[in-house]
Amino acid sequence: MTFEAYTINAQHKDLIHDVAYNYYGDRLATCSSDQFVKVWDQDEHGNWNLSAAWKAHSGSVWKVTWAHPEYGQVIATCSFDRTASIWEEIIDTNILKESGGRQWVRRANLVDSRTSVTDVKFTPKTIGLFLTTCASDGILRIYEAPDIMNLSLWTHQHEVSSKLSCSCLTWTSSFNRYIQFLLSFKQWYLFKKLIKYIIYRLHVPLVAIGSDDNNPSAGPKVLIYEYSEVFRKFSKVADTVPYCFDAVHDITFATTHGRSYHLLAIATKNVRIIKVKPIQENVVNLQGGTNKFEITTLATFEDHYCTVWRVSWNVLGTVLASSGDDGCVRLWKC
Amino acid sequence: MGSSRLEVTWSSYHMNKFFTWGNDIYLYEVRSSKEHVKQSDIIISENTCARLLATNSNYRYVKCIDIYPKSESDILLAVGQANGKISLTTFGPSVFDSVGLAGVELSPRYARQCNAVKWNSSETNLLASGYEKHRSDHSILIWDVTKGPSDYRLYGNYSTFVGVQNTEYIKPIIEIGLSDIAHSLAWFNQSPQVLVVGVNNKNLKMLDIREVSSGVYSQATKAVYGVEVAPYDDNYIVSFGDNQIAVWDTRNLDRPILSLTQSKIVSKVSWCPTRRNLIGSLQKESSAIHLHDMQQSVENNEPSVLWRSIQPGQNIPLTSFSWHPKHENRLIAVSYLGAITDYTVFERMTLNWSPSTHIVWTYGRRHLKLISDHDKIYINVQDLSPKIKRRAIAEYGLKEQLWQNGEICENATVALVWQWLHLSKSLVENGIITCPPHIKYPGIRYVLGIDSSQSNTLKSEAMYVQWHDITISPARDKALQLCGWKFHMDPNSLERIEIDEAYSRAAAIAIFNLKLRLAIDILKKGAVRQPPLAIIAMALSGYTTDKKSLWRELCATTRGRLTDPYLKAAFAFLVDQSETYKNVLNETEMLIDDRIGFACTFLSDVDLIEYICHLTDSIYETGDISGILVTGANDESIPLLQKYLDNTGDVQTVSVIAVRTFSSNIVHGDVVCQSWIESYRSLLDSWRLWVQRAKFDILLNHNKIPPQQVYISCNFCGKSASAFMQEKIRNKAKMLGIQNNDASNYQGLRILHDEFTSCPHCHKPLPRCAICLTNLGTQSTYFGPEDHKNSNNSIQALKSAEYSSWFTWCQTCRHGGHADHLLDWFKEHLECPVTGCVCHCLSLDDL
Repeated sequence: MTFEAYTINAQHKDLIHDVAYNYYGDRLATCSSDQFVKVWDQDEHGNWNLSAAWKAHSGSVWKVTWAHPEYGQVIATCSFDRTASIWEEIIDTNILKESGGRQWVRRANLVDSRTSVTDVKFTPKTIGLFLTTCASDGILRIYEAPDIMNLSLWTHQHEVSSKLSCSCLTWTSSFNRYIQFLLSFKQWYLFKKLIKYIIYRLHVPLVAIGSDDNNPSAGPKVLIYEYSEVFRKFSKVADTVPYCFDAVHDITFATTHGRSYHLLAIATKNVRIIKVKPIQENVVNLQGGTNKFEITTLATFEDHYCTVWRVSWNVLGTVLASSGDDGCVRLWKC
Repeated sequence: MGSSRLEVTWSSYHMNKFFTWGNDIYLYEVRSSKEHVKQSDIIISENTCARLLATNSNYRYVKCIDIYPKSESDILLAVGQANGKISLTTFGPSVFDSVGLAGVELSPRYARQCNAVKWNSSETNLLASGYEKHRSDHSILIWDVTKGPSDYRLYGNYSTFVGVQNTEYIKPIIEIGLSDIAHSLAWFNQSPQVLVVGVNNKNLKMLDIREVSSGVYSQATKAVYGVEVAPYDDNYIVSFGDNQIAVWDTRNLDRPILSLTQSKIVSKVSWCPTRRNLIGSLQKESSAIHLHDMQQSVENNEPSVLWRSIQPGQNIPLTSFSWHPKHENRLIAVSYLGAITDYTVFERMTLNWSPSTHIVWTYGRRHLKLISDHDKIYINVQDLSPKIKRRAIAEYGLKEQLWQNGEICENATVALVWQWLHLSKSLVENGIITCPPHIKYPGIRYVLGIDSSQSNTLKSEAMYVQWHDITISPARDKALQLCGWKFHMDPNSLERIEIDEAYSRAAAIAIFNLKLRLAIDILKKGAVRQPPLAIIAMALSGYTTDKKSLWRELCATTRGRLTDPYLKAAFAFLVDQSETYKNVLNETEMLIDDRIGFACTFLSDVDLIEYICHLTDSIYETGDISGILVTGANDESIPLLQKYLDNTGDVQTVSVIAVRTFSSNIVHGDVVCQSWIESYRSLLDSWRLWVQRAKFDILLNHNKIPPQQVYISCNFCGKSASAFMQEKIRNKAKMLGIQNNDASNYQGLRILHDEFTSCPHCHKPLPRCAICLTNLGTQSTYFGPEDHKNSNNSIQALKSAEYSSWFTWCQTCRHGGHADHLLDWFKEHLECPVTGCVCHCLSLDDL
């Protein structure tokens, strides 16, 4: 079946590294080796128009990602120049009216990394406004914006070193609210800490990172960490993804949407789909420590016959799209 | 093709010609395979094939080749050989014959292997060559091919063989490097007098041919092979040695700016001519070409490399490759077996899938391609989300009557679930099934008393009807009604099934109700539409109760051939010898209602309970949503719905079923339920279906009013004004005898509101509206051109009219006033109405 796809001439001067949709899917951000970031808006006729373009970094811009619209029109970028930046669109009447007086300004520049920052993601909204970055020195960092009205302040919360060159990261997104339990006196007495409430969720937020290290003997290339909101720390999920020893180029959790497990798509030399199922223990884990997970490979697709670059789920997590060196976009349904 | 290593090179000036050399030199032309293809053509890619144009087998032991860099219609090659000779040769007669270039031979003084030849790209008469070591000769010789003995050109014009004779007299114009070994060399593009040479296995030398004696810069390195200057930028050089690839910056040759260690010995490196900073490399005995994309940043002096590998062709080790000089990212590779592959390196494609069902990917370096659910191709994607969105817009789950939701769900199984929920609800409402108030949608398990501790509520008795025993009890009767099997009370119920043309189902139910004649009638009716049913009807008419009849024997054997699950089950029932009816009950393609209906009619109490328990386990396992009939709509159906959700991803159906049918403490208390509902709400939000989201929220909280979100407190005393006002209004209302939601007295309530212009505690006035400058709490005196006052007196109109006097303020600058005043103001202004405040209040809240 032949068809004509809608084409946007992105006018980037070099390779485009990432394309990101906002929460509603009506704005697009692209970033490229030409160090520019561009934002595209869809009009009511479905056409995409360039609404902003600016030089964002002094190196290739690897990834771009949107924050939840609740925090405003905010994107984060990361670059080869070892920084990650937060950008916010503001209204400025001093600028020409044509663009609606809108302008993107840099709110913050995160300079903690000593090496190229390879991926940047906001945490799921349920946790709050946090930003995670990973760098080619293998360090995963998490930043918090304590005041959502002031996006120029980001505090470096925590970091984890995976000792492998990281290429990508992804968060699970579950929509369940906090359910707070008042601890019984006995529990409190045993626990002896000044925490009165235990935050309990059906799904603990997980973050997975992938490494593009080529050396198969360097161990598994996908690591999954569990984020404890009470203690604000990451702990490695005991048995990380097995049999994944080749360089990983992209990794994406499907939006959980009520499923009892998480689906993780991995782009390596093939497309792999991993199921991460929390093993429910009815005991609330007071230490905030590692929960148990059952990790199984659901499917492996070899049809690209070569390196797979990117994977992306549909909104329900029922169909997966992948792109590879064969120049094809392929769609998979389990 | 011989056994020797095959090399390949694109012709620099012909878009479609390349040549390979091993023992012989072959010239090929690339053609589209759509055009006329000859049998001798070699297919080199999906769309292209190569046609052999010419062969040149004059030279044995070819070591290196370079193409004459001047644009001509023919190809002139400089062929460096093992015996040290460099021959200029063409494929057959050419334009070079007349200028005397073809056939020229250049020899060093002492014969030894020629390692490299390179034409100078701007002074095209210059040819550089590098040789193996000889103690009394130089290793780097620069020739001027047009400058032989003084009268060379003259002779050349007279006769060709004179040229051949005279070549012996051509002397190199420059000789450098006495008793050195030259491994590889390259000219710079921008400064054509400068050469870079790898010598003696340990040095990389830069020489200026204008100043041979002094202009030598040398750097010790092992990487002396395959030196090549970047096509876009003279500052960068790449070379290799052993398993190291080194990239150099000529401005600072002290150390390589990049040193890439490979796993095997490198055999070739080459800059991509169409893209900056891209290097291709090949390792010995490797079938993959490695691409190194050099990344540089202004602030950062150390570039890093994006690495990837491509595999043109089959998994056969490659011997060489060559970039196409003009076509983006195209290369040609040749393998040990002589197979040639034309390959275009695709740029790394990135892609994304939006919540609004768009898929975007990058196409080439500059384009984005998009498809969405408006495109026909998207149907093939089998994405569930457009369907869920369609249902959401049609207000799926929000319809007043439960069965109406089934009509818009576009799924037959789910539609039946809605119908069943409707049935279950109406049975309870009509008092046919009595249950405590918290159970609104009882399932079979509840009705049969399997869940409750009270054992043996069934107390069934057997009854002989027509020709068969059936089991009846009040509980079973209710269960039958839940299954929609009210046939024995309402004989017309079958007609409804017939309307849907499910004749076999209708007939089967008639048979299970022991009404053979009716079944035959139904089948006869059905035969009009589905002719094979006539034969079934005939077969049925032969039924006898005799357990040993021929009819039974034959039916039992031929039953397996039937495909229709209902007919299969019906015959299984008729020929059943035992009383277990396994063949009927295990017919999983039959609707679960009918299976349970059958079980309730014929199974004994013990068997029935066992069967229902077994069925419960199996629906939990398969996630068949129609199993909600067994569990009823309560917390026991949560694992079932979860399994259904895991299987299908249909978070919408489970959320709306939960919200519509579950009791409030389950909906708000169960984490699983909450996660469904929150996901669905977020899904609606991301589609901007806020009206549907709001209606869903109303349904969700219909007996639990959400907590107040906004409170007004006094600027002076800090006490809550709104709490006091509510109390006051309530008291006054009570006094006046006004019912809270009474439309006729609504105006009265508004009057009460209007009194409120100062803090009820400290009696300081409330802030003023920035527009009308009256204290807040007074009614907004200005009404816009569209005055709602005269519209009809419905609650709706009043409620929206009241909105005009609501307080509102900007979260940033804290200025505010009456809602309608501010809305009017911002129709014409961008800035805040308060003088001197430049806050863009309205646009800050823009979605």
